[in-house]
Amino acid sequence: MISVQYVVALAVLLFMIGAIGVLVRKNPLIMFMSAEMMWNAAALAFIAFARNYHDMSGQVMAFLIIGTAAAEVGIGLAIIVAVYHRRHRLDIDEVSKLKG
Amino acid sequence: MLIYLIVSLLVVLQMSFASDIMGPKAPGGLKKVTYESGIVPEAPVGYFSVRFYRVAMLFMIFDVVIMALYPWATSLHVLKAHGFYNGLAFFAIVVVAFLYVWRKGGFQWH
Amino acid sequence: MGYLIPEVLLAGGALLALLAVAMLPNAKNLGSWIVLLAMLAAGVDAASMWGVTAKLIMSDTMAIDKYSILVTEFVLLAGASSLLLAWNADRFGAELPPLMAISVLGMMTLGTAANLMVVFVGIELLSLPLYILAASTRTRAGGEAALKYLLLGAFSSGILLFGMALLYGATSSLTFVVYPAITAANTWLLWSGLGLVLVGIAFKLAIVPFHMWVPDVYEGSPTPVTHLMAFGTKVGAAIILLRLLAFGFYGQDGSWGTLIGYLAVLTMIVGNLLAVPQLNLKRLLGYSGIGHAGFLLVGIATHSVDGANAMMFYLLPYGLAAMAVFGVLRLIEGQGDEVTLSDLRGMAYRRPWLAAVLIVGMLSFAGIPLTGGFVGKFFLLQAALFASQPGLAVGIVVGTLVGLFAYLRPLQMLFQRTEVSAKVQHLRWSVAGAVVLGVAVVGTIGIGVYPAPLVHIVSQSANFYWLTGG
Repeated sequence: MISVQYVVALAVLLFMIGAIGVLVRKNPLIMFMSAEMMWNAAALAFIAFARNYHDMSGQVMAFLIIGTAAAEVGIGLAIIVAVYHRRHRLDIDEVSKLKG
Repeated sequence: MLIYLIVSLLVVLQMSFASDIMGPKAPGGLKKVTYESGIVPEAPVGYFSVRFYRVAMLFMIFDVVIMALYPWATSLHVLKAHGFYNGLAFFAIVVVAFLYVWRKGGFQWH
Repeated sequence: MGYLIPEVLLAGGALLALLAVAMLPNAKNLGSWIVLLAMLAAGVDAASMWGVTAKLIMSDTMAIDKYSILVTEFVLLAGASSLLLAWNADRFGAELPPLMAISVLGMMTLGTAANLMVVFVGIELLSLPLYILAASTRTRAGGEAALKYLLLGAFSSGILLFGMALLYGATSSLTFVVYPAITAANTWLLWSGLGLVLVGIAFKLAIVPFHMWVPDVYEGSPTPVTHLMAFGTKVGAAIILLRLLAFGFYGQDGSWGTLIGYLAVLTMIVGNLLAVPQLNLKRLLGYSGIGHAGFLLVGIATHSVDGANAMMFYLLPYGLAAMAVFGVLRLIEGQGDEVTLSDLRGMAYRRPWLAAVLIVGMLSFAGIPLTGGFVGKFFLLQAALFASQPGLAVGIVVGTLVGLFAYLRPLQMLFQRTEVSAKVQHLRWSVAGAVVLGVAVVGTIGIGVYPAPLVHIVSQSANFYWLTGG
């Protein structure tokens, strides 16, 4: 039996990779993927803890995360495609009609 | 244990780089085609097809929604009537979404 | 089950409106009417539950009490006013009413949340429709606003979720109502989880180090949607922060109280300071909204019943002032999406009534006496002083003074006699807009002159959880 610390460590690692991806990458698609990776890291941590505590609510939460992530991906890709259609290039630095 | 680790690492490394080092090299030609060993594209692929994206998206969303029915179905004997009707209410929401997409022509290829 | 009738009504209205949009595409405003009626019915039903004793329902995941009912009424007001601002405007798309209803449903869910699962679902239910709505005009600015909102929203939700996972790991429960009983779990897991959750909510509420997305998103989104973000989202994020910290982490105030206090002062001053040089009115309101989020944080940072009261009270005058200002903006912009300061020129002479409404809204934002905003800031100041935190009081005063400059500059434009801007000349009144402006002005001045009834209601709703939460 793998103890919970290792799984949580993996989740933390995934979370870090995702967070760094969002902060470093310029392509909205990749940034979005990285954000989804952070979500999945959280789902992994939830499942690890749920197994550790023999408690169902963590697994339910992981289920909710997967469902919500699908909805978010549907909306997100639609928006990214709409923006892409208007400019035929994807670079977050070029999305700059609105100055940050 | 250690030997397994070393061997598996070596196998992975050789799989990654062996073809680079030893394989024949023929740059150009079909190598530059998007799907090298697949069907030859008819038109130059400058952008991806939005139709394809829409179908994939709808498939994925309804797929994940239906996924929520599996745990419901397996635990119906515990949930009894109350859980059954709650599941039906959930399914009614999915049906409304389905009707919306259908009436909007989301399932048509063209 | 009967306690969730407002939510069920609104969800049913959203589904019905979605069906109506798909099946009867030619029926004008049908979806808007369905959603508006559902909101009214939900509001009436929630109000009829006012006498309820606080209780947990749905396996301890949702709390029904006066707090949740008051939040329901606030967000329904936000939703209905946004819907009215988008009335008769085809360019936002027919799907706007059901999407707004779903977003408001998310805010209502946040008001009842007693469990991290519900918090997550509520926040996502609130944000996902807003991503679509931001891009609903299909303009370039709208698409960019939606993209930024989406990426930042997904990022902050990821942080929030991971924080929740760590909290779950530390306490073995997602029901944060029971957290005060598990103080033994005072580990690094609990603290890092709480920190991540705070950062996630700070993104949603636009607290200063995490505020950079707000002005862009506000500027690019259509005005009714911006109004929903400014009013509804702020209510949702603020009340969940209060409920989570004051309910779940009641005993550990020494750790988060100070942090929230520093953030509050920083947000009040920086938000208002950045609002001063803005030329685009929606950007200005974006920064002003950041400043107001800082004021809301003061109520949480004091960690007292007075502070909770003051924060709950502050939400309504803020929302009413937002209704007044965004309503005027919506009338001025006409078919466009942008209103700059110079578009206001000569309005006081050409459109005196509309100019008066804008003045009332801006003065309430600034906190001038006889408006609701003044009373709200007064209660916050009082709460800060009662909690003997003079730093917060100084922050409120400095923030208000800086804000004065930001809000007086647009008003100065109204009285420019030289020329009348084209947008003011071609402005056309609408019935729906007039309703919103009427409610906003009556409410703002009413609360400013005679705040006692609202004070009574708010003190009833904010009092309960200090008693049941410990």
